[in-house]
Order: sequence, then structure tokens, then C-alpha cells
Amino acid sequence: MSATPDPPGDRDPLVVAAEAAVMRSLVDPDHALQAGRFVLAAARRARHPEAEAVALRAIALAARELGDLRSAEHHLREAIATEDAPPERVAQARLSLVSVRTERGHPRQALHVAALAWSHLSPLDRAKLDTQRAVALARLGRHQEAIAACDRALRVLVTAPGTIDDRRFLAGGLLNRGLVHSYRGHWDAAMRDLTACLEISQRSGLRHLARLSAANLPFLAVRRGDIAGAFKHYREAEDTLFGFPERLATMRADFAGALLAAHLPGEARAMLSLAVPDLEASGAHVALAEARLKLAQVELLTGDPHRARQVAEQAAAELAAQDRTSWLPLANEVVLRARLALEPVTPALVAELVACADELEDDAAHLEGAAALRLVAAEAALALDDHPTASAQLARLTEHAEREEPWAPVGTRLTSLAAEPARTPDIPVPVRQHALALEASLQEDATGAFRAVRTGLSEVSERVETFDDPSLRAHAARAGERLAAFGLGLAVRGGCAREVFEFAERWRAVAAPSHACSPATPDRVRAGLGSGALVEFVADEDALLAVVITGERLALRRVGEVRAVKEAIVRLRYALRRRSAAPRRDPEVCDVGNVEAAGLEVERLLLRPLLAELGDGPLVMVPVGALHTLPWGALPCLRERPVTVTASAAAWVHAREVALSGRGGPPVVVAAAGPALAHAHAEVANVLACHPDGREVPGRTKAVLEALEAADVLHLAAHGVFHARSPLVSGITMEDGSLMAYDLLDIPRSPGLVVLSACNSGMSRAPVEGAPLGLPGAFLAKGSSCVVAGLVPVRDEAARALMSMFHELVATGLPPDAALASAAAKTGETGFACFGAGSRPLY
Amino acid sequence: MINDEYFLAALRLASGNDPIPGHVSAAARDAYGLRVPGAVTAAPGECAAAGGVRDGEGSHLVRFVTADLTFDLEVTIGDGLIDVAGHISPNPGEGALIDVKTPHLTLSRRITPTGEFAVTGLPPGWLSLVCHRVGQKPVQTRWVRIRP
Repeated sequence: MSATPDPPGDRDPLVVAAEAAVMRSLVDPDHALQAGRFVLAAARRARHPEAEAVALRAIALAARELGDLRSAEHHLREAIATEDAPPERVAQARLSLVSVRTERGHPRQALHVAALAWSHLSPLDRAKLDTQRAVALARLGRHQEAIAACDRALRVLVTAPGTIDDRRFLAGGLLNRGLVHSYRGHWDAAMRDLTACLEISQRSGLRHLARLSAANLPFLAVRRGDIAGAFKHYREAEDTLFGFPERLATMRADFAGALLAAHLPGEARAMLSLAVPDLEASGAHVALAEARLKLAQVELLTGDPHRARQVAEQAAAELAAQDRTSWLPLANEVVLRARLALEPVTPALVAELVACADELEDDAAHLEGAAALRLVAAEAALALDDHPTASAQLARLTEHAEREEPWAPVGTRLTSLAAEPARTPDIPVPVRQHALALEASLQEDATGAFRAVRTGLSEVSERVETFDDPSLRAHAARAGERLAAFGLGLAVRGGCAREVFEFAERWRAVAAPSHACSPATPDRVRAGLGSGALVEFVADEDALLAVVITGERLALRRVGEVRAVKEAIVRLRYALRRRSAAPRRDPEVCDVGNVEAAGLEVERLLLRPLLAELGDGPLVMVPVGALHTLPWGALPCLRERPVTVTASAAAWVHAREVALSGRGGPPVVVAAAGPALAHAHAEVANVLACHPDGREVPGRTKAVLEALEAADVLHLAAHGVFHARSPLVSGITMEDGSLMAYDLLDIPRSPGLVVLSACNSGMSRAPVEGAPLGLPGAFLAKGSSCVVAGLVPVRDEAARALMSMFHELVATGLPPDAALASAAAKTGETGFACFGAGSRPLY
Repeated sequence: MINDEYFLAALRLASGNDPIPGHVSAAARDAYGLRVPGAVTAAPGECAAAGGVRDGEGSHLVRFVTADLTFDLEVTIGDGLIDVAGHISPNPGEGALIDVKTPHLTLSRRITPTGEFAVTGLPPGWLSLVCHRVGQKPVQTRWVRIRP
């Protein structure tokens, strides 16, 4: 620990042993703890205060690495109190106490401890102290000073002799500076520092410090938009941090914060529910208060304002007790948003929202949150008809936005300024455009409002385009969700079917895979409908509406209430699942009447308002929300009627074009059976018997992926698993594991028709409309024009009967949608649906 | 045994040795407020496992039973919120209602003639159901914790 690298031979062996224990504490805390205790006992026997103080510090550092902050502090205080210990040894113990006090929730006291240590330390130790002060400064929100302290320290440490301890503080200083950079949202600078820290610590054998920097990679990866990579880093960090519960919990809490910012509240909740108890147990009060605040935010986002309010109030009390006043507005924001969800709006609540937005604005790190809250305050003021307050708040969000000057004479402007608004980095584009749209609609300027919304959505689109991974695209698009909802509401209130259709398609195109991005006009849709109809569902807050396009008409119809429809769908799915899971010959459950009744109820709520418009031809359904989980074939009025499900009208037009470009001649059919099913192989045999050019491949992922490249039709008979939380992990169970939607992201092509004879294989979750995530979407994105898949559990035997008949009908020249409708009617197995465009025969 | 410990604790409390912290009393009042007076409690029962289905994993199934009613529940977790679908047998009859309760809200639903019901968009956490039948005591399931 001393800055004078004396050869160990000339120095006191007890002090050398104690210093060796200090050095080991980071590399091997368990061993350092034993060594420290051993040296401490020897030093006390020999009445050697210097060795005693150093040994106590070694024990403390090891305890801290093992997550026992209380013991770390206790031993450091003992070291400081050691009688006759040299002042520089006491100062070194204080140096270590700085970060421990900070982590236990007393950053202000930590700075005081640092001040006491300063005068007795060598220049090199002062640099080390600075790396620790930085943590306390950052906790207090004094980011500028924290960065300055790290910069100063790192300049000294880079030229230090290079003992393991020097390198440890060099790497630690880089780690701390990287973390402060990330607090300030400077992700690239953060990544640079953390990568440098990782390199130095790996080279120096500081395995634990390497793990610490690696533990921040999940968080940083999310912030840089790489969620799949983040989960990979997370799994690695989870393994490397095993046995360090406090570090693991802190990593999870940080990761959760990033997931939260990436619009993944469900994932964040799962992380925090693991992290909070561990942080409570290890007494890490600082990290605990932050994790609790995040948990409050998650509770709010996942629909529990009561819990959100309770947890936020608890977090606020903890943060206040730690003098962390810069965090309090964040906790207050959660409380106010929760109250807004629970109570009627009052002038007092609006005033509090405005005040909280003002407070958030005082901190450079919270400007975006401040803007979002200001918009909420303006909307709340509008709910009270308090236009002056609303306008004043909106003006603060739009003052830097340049507008198209409505009075500029035609021809004097070369470019439309509204299409390229001035960028104000502090106000997120969707928030600013939403404010502009609200301002315009307050002045009854619908055209201006729509223009503002469109501009905002195309900005969101641009950001979405930077991602390839469909789930990242979908989650990036969520930034535009409230703006899109506002625009849709405007269109619905305008009552023009064409406008609602165009707007719904525009929003669906934001997150859609690139092939479905070219807009579909009603005329392009009509061109392929024949005698059929396309129904595009949209949700305007709690109201479910539908735009119906037929050869003759374009109509907007109010369908009903979103919640009632959703509950009816949940009941229908439940009835279907109970029927498939029932032990046969159980009359109580096998009663077909349950399914029939539940189907009639969905039909009554969802289709009765539309039946007059639908005619009796094939139907194309564009679902919204819970309708993505509806097995349409189970609705009695659609019996024997071809139905295709598609993510958007544009996606359907595209899939039809793909289907029409198919090559001539009999299709090449490939089929495979998964494990652990009695009827799967027989089904495959039946399917192949229907087609002149068919072959079976082994039920293994590699064989199936290879078959995808040449086949025109792929049929899989296997178990299916749907993961609502990570829909791209959903898959079909093959003999060697799951064939996941993720595996399909890199394939060069996909067969025109894919039939997934498996439970739940047609299930999708749409974080945003236009990009349902699941197996059907994954195949369609790779060039399939039609996917037939199950939306509920199906019985092994029933699936075989249905699929054998389906392929017989396809082989006689029926298109897939009609073949499925007919086979479902004949076998009574209604749990499958046809996705994409299913109206083109294969023969 | 545990009851003796409770008894001793109650004695200590009653003698004023151990004043009750305010938040404990508040929590007790909240918990007391959740009870349904006069209700019969339905206890957890065995769920039948499904076989011969092409489903890789069953969803969250819970069953509660009393002497004369069986509640079958299926909980599906979506995007952070949960949907609850269920079936009551034998059919509780005309005019029966089901209350789906969380510590903060109660949602009332009609039971279909086939004995089924559903609610959507609940926060994960503690959950209990109460079946109200005409002219009979209400039946309440035990509280069950649904983890996200």
C-alpha cells in the first residue's frame, strides 16, 4: 500500500504480510479474509499497531467484496481507531471507508471522511482517494466534480509504478468515470472507459474488477439499443457474479433501469423483484433506494398505481434520509402520476405536476423526463378546461420548434421547415410534436395537428430503421405510441374512414418489417379483395373501431369497448384450452357448448356491428391488441369462411404479391415431426401422401433450417411454446431443442406456405401495432406468403385429423385459407388460423 | 408451538409492554378491510394435468375447492399485466356474480351460463375471488400470489 516500493526483504514481515492481504482482497476475497485475520492476530500478539491497522483494512476490503458492508465498515473504523497506528495508515483506512460509507447511504459523510484523510496521504494515494470521492460526488448528483476528480486521479495513476494496487485504482477510476458518464447519458464515453477498465483488469489478473466492469455491459448495451446483446452480457455477468449477491443485485437493478428506459417494464420488473430483496439483505441502502424508485416506476407502468405510490413514497423517504435531494423529484413524479391514475384531476394536482416538471428541469440528467411530465401536466389542465395553464406549459415545450409560417407567400419558401424542425436535444421529438399537435388542435387547426403528428412519427420511424432485430424495432417504436394515439383520436373524431385507415396504416408502418412499409391505399387493397372484405381494427383509448374495405365501400364502424371484447376473447381461449386439456369422456368439460357459447359472445361483441358490411366472401382481418390472440375459426358465424390474419393492410398487399410471384409446377413439400407425440409421425406421412413432390426430414433444427432454403411448403408437427414476455424465444420443439423465432432472423428465405401443427405457434404479442412478434411474423418477414398455425393448445390426434384433411384440400386446388376453413368445419378443430395472405391456390 | 408464541406476544401487547407501531396497526386495518363477512373459504385443491396436447408448457393453473364448489383458474401473464380466466362448477345458478379482488380493487363480473368468467389487465400480486350466489353464503378463495 505504501507509495515507496521498497524491496520486501528490508521491511517488517508483518506489515508485508498485511499488505499482501490487502492486495489479495480484490483478487480472492475469501483467501484475503483468512490471511487478514491471521496477520491481525499475529500483529496484536506482537503489539504492532501498523500491521494491525493494515490487516484490519485487508479484512474490511475482503468483507466489502463479499457484500458485507456492515462488517467492512466495522473493521475500517477499528483500523482508524487503532492506537499508535501511523497517520498515513489511518488515512488509508479512511480512503477505503469513503466508498463504503457512500454505498451505505451517506455520501456527504463520505466526503467528510475523505477530507480528514487527504493531508496524510502521498500524492499517489490522493489520486486513489479521488477515485473514491468521485463515487460519493456522483451519488450526490455532482457529476461535473466527479468527472473532474476522476480525470485528475487518472492522470496520476497512469504514470504510477504499476503495483497491483496502482493498477486496481487505475482500473477502478476508469470504472467510476465510466459510470458517471453513463449517469449523464454519454454512452460512448462510458463504453470507452469500461472497456479500458476491463482490459487493464483482465491483463492484471484483477478478475473481480474485470467482472465488475463486465457487469455494467448489460446496462450499457441496452442504453445503446442492443437488447439481445444485453441479455447475453447479462447471462455472462450472472455467472461471473455468482457468490457476490450484493454486486449481482446491483447489476440487476442497473440493468432493470436500462430495460425500463427501453420500454420493457415487464423485463425490468422481473429483474427488480430479484434485486430488491438481495439489496435489503446486504444493507446496500444507496442501491436499494434507487432500485426501489425504479420498482415504483415499473409498478406504475405495469398498471398498479397503488403499489407505485406506496413504493415511491418509501423510496422518497430513503433518498431524503441519504441527503440525495436531486433524486426526490423523480420519486415525486411517480407519486403524482400514480395520483393522476387514481384520483380525479384537480387544479391543485395540475399545479403539483407543473412544479415537479420545473424541479426535474433543474437537473440536466432529467430534462427528457421533465418534458414528458410537462406534457402530462398540460393534458391534465386541458381535462379541467384550464386552457391558459395548458397553453403556457405547451409553449415551454414548443418554443424552440420552428413552425411552418402559415402566412409565408407561396413560392418564397424552398423547403418546408416543418419537415425538418430544429432539434432541441432536451425535449424528446415525440413529446415536442405532441405538444405542437395539441397546440394546433386547441386552435382548431386539424391540418396543422396532423402535420405535427406525422412529422413526429416519421422521426420515430427513422430511429426504428437503425435496428434490424424485430423486437428492438417494436420497442423503439413505442416512443411514438402516445403521439400516434393522439393522432388516431383526431382522425376518429373527424369521422372520415379514409383518414382513420391511412392513419392506422401509417402507425403500423412505423415498427413494421421493412417489406411492409410501403403504404397501402384503399384502392390497392380493393384490387386484391375480389368479393371479400378487409377489416382493420383500431383502438381509440377504450373504444374499439373497425375500418371495413370492400369492393364497393370504405366504412368506419364503432365496434364496442376494448375491455369487454378482450375479456370475451380470454373466455373463449380458456374454453378452448379446457376442452383440449380435458380427460376425454368428461362430459362436464368436453361440453362443446362452452366453446360455442364463448364463440357466440365474441361474435356478438366484435362482428355483429360489422356483419352488414362484410358480405360473404373471404375475410382479411387486421387485429389490434388482444385480437392477436383470437382464434377466428372458433366464431360460429365464420364457420367454413376463409379468414386471413395480417399485421397491416400493407403487409397483406405485400404477402399477396409474394404469393402471385410463386413459380409454377407442383410445390416441393417438406415435413418433419417433433418428439414426444403419438400422432406426429403419422400426420407427416398423411401430409406427404397428399403431394406428388414431398419428403420427410429429421425433426432436428438444422435439418429443418436447411429445408427452409429449398421447400415451397414446410409442415412441422410438434409441440409449440409461446413466451409472451420474449415472443421471439417462442418456438417449435424439435428433437435437439427449440426452433425459435430468433433462429429465423438470419435465414436467407422461407417457403411460400409454412404449416405449424403445434399449440400456440400462431400466438404473437404486439408491443406496438404493425409488428406482432412471434413465429408467423418471423416466417412472413423472410418471404413466406402464408403461415398456418395454432392459437391455442390442440390435441395431438385432433391436429392430425385436421392437417391431413387440410393438405388433401390444398392438393385439390383450394387456397390455404379456404382449405383451413373447410377442414376446421369438418373436424371441429377450430384453434388454427391462416396468417399473411392465404387466398392463392398452390395447385 | 406457534400458537403459544402468538399467545405470549398477545399478552405482552395487552399489558402495554410492547406498543404496536403505527404502520402495523394500519396494515392490520387494511388486511381486515379485505375480508368478506360470513364467507366460506375455498382452499387450494389438486389440478388435473393435461396429456396428449401439443403444448410445450402449461399456463398457470390454480384450483380452489369447498364442499360444494370448485373454482378452476388459469392465469396468463402478458406484457407485465395478468389475465384471469376461470370456471366454477357446479354452475352457481342464475344471478351469480364473481368478484376478482386485489388488495386495491374489486372487479365484479357476471358468470356465463356455462360457469365461466374472465378479467384482464390486473397487476401481478395478491389475488382472491369471491363467488356471490343468490340466497347462499358467499364463497371466497384463499389469497394467492401471482408472480410476474
